[in-house]
Amino acid sequence: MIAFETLHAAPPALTAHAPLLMVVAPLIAACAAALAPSARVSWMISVTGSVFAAWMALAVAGEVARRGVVDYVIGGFAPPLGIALHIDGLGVMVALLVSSAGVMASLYSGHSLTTEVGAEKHTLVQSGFLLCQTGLLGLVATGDAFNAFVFLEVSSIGTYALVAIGEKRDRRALPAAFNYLIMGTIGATFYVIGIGFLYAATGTLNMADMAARLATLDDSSVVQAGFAFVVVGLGIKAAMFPLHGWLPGAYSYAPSLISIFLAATATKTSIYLMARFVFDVFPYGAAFGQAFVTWVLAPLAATGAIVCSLQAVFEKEIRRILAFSSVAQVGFILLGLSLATVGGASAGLFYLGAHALIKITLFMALGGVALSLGARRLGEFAGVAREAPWSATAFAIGAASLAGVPLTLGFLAKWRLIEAALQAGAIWVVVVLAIASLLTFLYVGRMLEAIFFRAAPAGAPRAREAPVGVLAPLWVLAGLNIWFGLDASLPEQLANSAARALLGAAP
Amino acid sequence: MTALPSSFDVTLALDIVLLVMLLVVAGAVARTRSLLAAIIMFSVYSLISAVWLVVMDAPDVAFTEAVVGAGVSTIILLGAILLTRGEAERPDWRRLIAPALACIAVGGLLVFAAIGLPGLGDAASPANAYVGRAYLEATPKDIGMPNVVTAVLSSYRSFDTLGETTVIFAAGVGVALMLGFGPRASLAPPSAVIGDHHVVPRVAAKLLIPLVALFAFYVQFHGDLGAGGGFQAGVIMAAAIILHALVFGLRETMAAIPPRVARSLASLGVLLYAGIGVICMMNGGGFLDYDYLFPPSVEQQIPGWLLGDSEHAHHWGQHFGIMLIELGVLLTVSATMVTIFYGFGGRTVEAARQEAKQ
Amino acid sequence: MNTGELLIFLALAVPLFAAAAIYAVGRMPDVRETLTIIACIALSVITISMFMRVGAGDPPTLTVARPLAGLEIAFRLEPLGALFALMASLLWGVNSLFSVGYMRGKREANQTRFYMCFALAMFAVMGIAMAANLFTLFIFYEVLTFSTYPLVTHTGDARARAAGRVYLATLVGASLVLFLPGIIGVQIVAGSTAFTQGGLLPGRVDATTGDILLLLLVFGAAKAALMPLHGWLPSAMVAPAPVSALLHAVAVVKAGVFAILKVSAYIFGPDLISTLPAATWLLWIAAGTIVIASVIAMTKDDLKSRLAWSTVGQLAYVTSAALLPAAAGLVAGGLHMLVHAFAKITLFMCAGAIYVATGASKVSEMRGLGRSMPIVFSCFLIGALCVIGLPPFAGMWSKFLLIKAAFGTREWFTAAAMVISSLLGLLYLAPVALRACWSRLAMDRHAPSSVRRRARTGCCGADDHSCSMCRAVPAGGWRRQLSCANRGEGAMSEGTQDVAPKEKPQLGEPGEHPLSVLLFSWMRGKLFFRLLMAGLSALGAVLIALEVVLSHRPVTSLVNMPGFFGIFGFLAFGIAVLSGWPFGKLMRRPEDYYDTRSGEAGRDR
Repeated sequence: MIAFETLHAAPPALTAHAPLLMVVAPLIAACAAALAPSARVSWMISVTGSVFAAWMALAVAGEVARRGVVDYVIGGFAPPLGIALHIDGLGVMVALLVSSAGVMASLYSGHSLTTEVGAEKHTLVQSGFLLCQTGLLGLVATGDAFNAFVFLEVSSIGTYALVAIGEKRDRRALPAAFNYLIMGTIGATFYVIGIGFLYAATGTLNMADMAARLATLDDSSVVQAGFAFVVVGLGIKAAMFPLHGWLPGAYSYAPSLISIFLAATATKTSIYLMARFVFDVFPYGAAFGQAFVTWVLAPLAATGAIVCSLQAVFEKEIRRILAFSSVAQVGFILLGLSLATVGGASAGLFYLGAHALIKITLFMALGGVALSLGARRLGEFAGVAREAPWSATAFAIGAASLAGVPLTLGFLAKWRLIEAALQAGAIWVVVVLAIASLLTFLYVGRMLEAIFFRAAPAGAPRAREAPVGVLAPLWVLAGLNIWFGLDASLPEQLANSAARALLGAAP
Repeated sequence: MTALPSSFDVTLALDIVLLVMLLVVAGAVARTRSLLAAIIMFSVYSLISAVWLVVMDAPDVAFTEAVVGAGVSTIILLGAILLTRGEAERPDWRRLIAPALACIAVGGLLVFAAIGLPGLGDAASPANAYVGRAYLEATPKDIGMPNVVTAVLSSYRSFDTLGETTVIFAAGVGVALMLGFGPRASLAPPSAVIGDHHVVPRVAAKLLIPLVALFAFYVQFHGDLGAGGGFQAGVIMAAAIILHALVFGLRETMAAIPPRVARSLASLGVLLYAGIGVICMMNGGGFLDYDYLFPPSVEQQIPGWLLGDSEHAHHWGQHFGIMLIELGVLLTVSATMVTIFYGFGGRTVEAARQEAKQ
Repeated sequence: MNTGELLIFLALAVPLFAAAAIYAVGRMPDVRETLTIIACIALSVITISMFMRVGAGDPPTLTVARPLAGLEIAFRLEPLGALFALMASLLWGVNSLFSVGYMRGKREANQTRFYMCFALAMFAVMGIAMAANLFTLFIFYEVLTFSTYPLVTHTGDARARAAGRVYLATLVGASLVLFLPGIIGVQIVAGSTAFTQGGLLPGRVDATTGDILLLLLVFGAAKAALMPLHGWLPSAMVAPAPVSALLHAVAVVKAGVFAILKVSAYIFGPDLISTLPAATWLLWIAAGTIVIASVIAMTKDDLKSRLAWSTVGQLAYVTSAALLPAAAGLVAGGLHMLVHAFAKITLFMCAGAIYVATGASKVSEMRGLGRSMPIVFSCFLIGALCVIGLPPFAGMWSKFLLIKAAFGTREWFTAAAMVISSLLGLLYLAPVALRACWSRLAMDRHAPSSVRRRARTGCCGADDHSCSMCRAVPAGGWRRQLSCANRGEGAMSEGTQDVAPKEKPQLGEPGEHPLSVLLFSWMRGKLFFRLLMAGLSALGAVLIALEVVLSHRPVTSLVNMPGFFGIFGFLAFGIAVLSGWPFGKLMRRPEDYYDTRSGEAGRDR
């Protein structure tokens, strides 16, 4: 157990402003990176900004452990007039996730960008990446529904552009980014329409205030429509099953820096926001909320987990396999949340964290190898383990974790999910999980078989081992997969407090 | 609903006319295969909605809609179709089924929601009775500014505005990343063909551009009192610059404001905004708490009569804070618009071919 | 850390360290293999001293990690586990010696990986043997699966990879879909998964939950190859002989039945088992497995395949023993596990030796080879008789105890199945050795030329000899050289050599020893097989009919329906088997299927 209660990561003067600095630090770094004179400087700025944000996130974690909830009033106007940041156990967990993913990705970017993007664009890429980070962290930190929309847009717009510059390596990045842009914009628009309705019904934008006022309202058609719009909008952003069409392309064709960061964070924060709305903002007791969770969310999550796992099994490109896998894993997470018990939510959130770690490991290992190889298709990775053993082993660790092999974090995540489902008496969830895990296992097996057990065809381009700058963060991540597989008290603690924060006294 | 039946009727009639026009134009956009026509009609659509927004008593939004929707984005879209064919292919009707169904579902949901919505301008509706009223009551005391909209945007919800400015900056970064590099053709007419018909726009533009810029500044600084503010002013300023580029050629404008400078200005704007927030923080307040904009030592230097009576204390901080962040917004918005225009402008087919050859 | 804990630690650390060391010195084969042998000896010493300490004082316990609240990776020494560890470590030593000869003799590639994975598998086995709770057992059970996968696919060709896929998919699939939920179920019901003397669950579950958990856990341990989850075992026959020995004797299948024994003894406990209807159903399935596997084994000409099916049957003996509602069953099961391990490793090593020396892998090719390889075939005969359970071999005692336990608990069908299967074993195992020794050397045209040629030169000896000789032959090995030589000879002598002759069918095969013909030829005919199948079908029909008459423990009202159990069993079994087909197809698909259609890459919207 890590005693967050006694964690004083930063001096008090900084800690007092930590929730805000966590968001603004990457923003200022983004501006600075855009102004930077050279690629190298912008990279340093990017690393500094990300590390600072992560540091502040840690400071917030200490505060939240001590006080339960951290509120930070902006502009001196308390809500509902002003905007306040509101971070509880759930927010801390996701914030730590996003900021540490940011640190890892920024460390990695020093090497990857040089081969993937023209030198003149580096400053702007770093800037865009930091903007993404700002958006995601802001989205997590804020306690205001409209403010969340603004940050959602900050992160999305940064992402669209960054996905599109994969163009240099692959022209398919452009349609993928366009697809992502359209879907993302529809999602954001739906979300903001929903917020508009909720504002019309409650007259406030602050989430806590909105929740308090919604609890006193009858189910009017405005509230229900608002709920529908918010959930569908966030569902698109979170790549919930039938709304996931944009994700495989966006993850597959973007420069590796972006896929790494996106895979670990983007859908997770949307799931976070959706959970906040479904369980916190809307009175969960409301008939439509419960009906939604039982009859829409859970079945869709289950279908997504199975269908997308199947798609991953039959996919040919390795990054698309991982992307479909991400959609499927979103299904796992939502299944856990849809149990609507503290145990279920905790398991779902644990899975969320585990999956983020797993996917960032996988994408980074892949990116490291693909830097020299330029390969995409599974067959082209044949025999890579011989040329790049370190990357391949890290990939294998991540893949094992994804498949849920014991002694890895992924196994414990699956364990907790099944345990929660059994405890909630949802046998069908166990069945779905088992089937989807099996399919996961199949596509993981395919990838590993290609990388480890097949000889490279003669004359194929040979991979080189990734540079140390890539291997270092990669092995930190792979090591974490194993470490947490042996001692998961840290993520468990975070997930438990997050679940308690989310469901509170609810059953 | 308002008490006066006559004004009610006029508003309703206007609403109906404008909305029908919007519908017709939207239908026409969907039907036409000519991209040029579609762009022009989009511009018309924006203008009509701007008018409609004025009727709805939202002049700030109307401003923005008119400048961005009808002005700048039309130019950018025109720049974009230079690179493609002028006609869109007619899609297979089967591919339209799913989107149509989705549209119908969304429309149905909207209508369903509208049933429960309070009436327009209903003073008892939650939106007006709760926070809306509170803003109206608190603004004179907290901010001391006649325009409540600006007070809400720039002070109460200044964090949102920071976010929105960041969105614009992000859009600029995005366009610069995708289109900001590579060869450009000058938009100026070849010097050999400069004939009579270019003289008129040149002369007119020379007259117009300073006026437009002046108007932008007016909008910027008038924001405290009436409709206006950094966003609108930024777009108007950008329109002036774009007009310059259209008439005198991209190369001339780029010489005056190089793309790199434009990008830097955009980021400087956000930096200014966030910097104000950080300064407030360092002076002991919260982020963007303008009451702490001036450190106490400075605050003491301000003569008492300037601070006003006790009920209106500290408004200097608010005023200066709002002015500075609006300046940041102006910078970012105008620089981003120019960056986006640079991105699309001059990417003629020939230039694209040259790029492909390289 | 006291001595007991130190022993546990060392038992885990030695193979793990050996694996790392083997990888490190992979470039030096002699050092590598010396290391392996040293590790074997060290591990054997450790397990022997562990075995000596069992029962003296408190069982030593070692807790390694607590991944989640309430979950521990912990080890504890108890008699059954110590027995398993001892057996595995001793057999590892024997098998390693054999591997050195076999792998060098066949000049296999990737030998470092082979030895490393072997050591890792031993690490997993030690973990399984000493696991203090189901959670730990599951972890190492999976480690065993993954560390043996590279061994199963060792040859690396398409067949091996397909077999590897089936192997992984069955084992992992079962453990994910059945075993894991079962374990989590236990955790939820009992708040722990610790192996407890007398059973963890008694008093904590009702009959329905107990049934479900028992079914999940027993089928989940797919390494025990209980039908219908047995398919992986015969298909894993593509692996080299030492790997087969590992699968069948040392580690893998034994880990499966060991898990079932542990679950039965320490999770459910004999008392609870005796009250669960599911135990009866499982006994039926095990009995069915025993008989069906034996019958299938009779039809196999490939020696390793025949042995594999025999293993399937023998494992079901242990499973039955674990499920018999008596503590006596557990003792018999443990003993049978041990005995079968020693017997089967003998058989597989013989098969490997025969293959290395002569290239013969089919039973029909081995006629007469016994004369040139007397030691090998004697060993084979001993192993076979042991598996069959004839005196004076060890197999007799375990079978005796098993059948006694079955009779003692009035599980007639199980007892009957065991007896029938032993008789069938006499028919499919013993003749292999007997015919090889008693038949005249096959000079006819049935036997592949290489074997004939090989046998004629008469340089066949014990396995070590042949290995050293094989090593002297340049790349390509004995077999190819011989067959080339033979082809030349054949061309010189007579042209019709390779054309299958159209002789009239006769009793026995040409050149076969008369006694062999007399004893075994009757079961070679189609008529016999048909009769056998008809008999079995009739037996099944009778059993179903009996169900109508005999009443069983009621579970639901449905049970009162006439013939419910028979119909239920038949349907469930049929569905389980049939549902495996599409899955098997998926697993066996050609592996380059994703490289074939290349035009689809840009399909993305």
